[in-house]
Amino acid sequence: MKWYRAIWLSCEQATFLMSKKEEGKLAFKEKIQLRLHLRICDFCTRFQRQVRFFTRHAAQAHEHTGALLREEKKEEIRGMMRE
Amino acid sequence: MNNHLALFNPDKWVDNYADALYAYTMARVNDMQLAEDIVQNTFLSAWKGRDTYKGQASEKNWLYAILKNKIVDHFRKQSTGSLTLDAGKEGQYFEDGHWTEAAAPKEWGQYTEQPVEKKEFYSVLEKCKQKLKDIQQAVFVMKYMEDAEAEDICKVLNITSSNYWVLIHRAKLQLRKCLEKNWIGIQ
Repeated sequence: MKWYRAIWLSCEQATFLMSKKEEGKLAFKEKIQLRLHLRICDFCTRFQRQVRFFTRHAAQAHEHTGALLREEKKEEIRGMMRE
Repeated sequence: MNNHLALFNPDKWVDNYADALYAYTMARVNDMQLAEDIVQNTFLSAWKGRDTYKGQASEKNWLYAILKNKIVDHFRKQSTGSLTLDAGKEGQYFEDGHWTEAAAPKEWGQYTEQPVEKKEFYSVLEKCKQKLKDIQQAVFVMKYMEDAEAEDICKVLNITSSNYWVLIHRAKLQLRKCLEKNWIGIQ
């Protein structure tokens, strides 16, 4: 099982490579390694699914906060734009 | 009809866009005073540059483009450039490369499939994001909220790509754990 040792990733390495993968920066060997790791490791599979979930939703955060600019600030800006 | 000049109406900018621009900024910088400054500067820059508006983009998209630049500028200024990453921060998640029992991802159940209880999820995400270090927030926001390429993020923050990978990895580990605890409710 020597070949197996040579390509087996730790969970720390596997989760690290997931970010590189998003950037399209994985070497061929790393792609195979990550795929193999995810086939076997439930924790890292979960990690990938959960991280994907919140990173995909993050960009819409502002649509759900209901944050409003203070009226005084709006008035101040309007004033500056009149000058 | 790809010219938007006819609909260009600076007098109505504050009424039409101030709240939206502010909410957008707050979600990215987590600081009221700072978000107000950025929105104000955006309107002022747009106002001063109004003669350069040619109508290729909608008024709204034009304002957002200015705003996004200001947000990136803020991250650029905030980053000191001399980054020293303490080694072994991942140690709280891994032991000899394996997940520690406390840090190993638990099953989140149906949360990730069903439409999210949005308000709750986003308010926890916001709080968790605030707990990240400034530089990690900057990396996370630019990557996942502003959709920037890693290469550009490194340039803006003046960090090496290996620093980038470490920062984004740690940000994900920390956010995931924080959401699991405070949103899903698994201690």
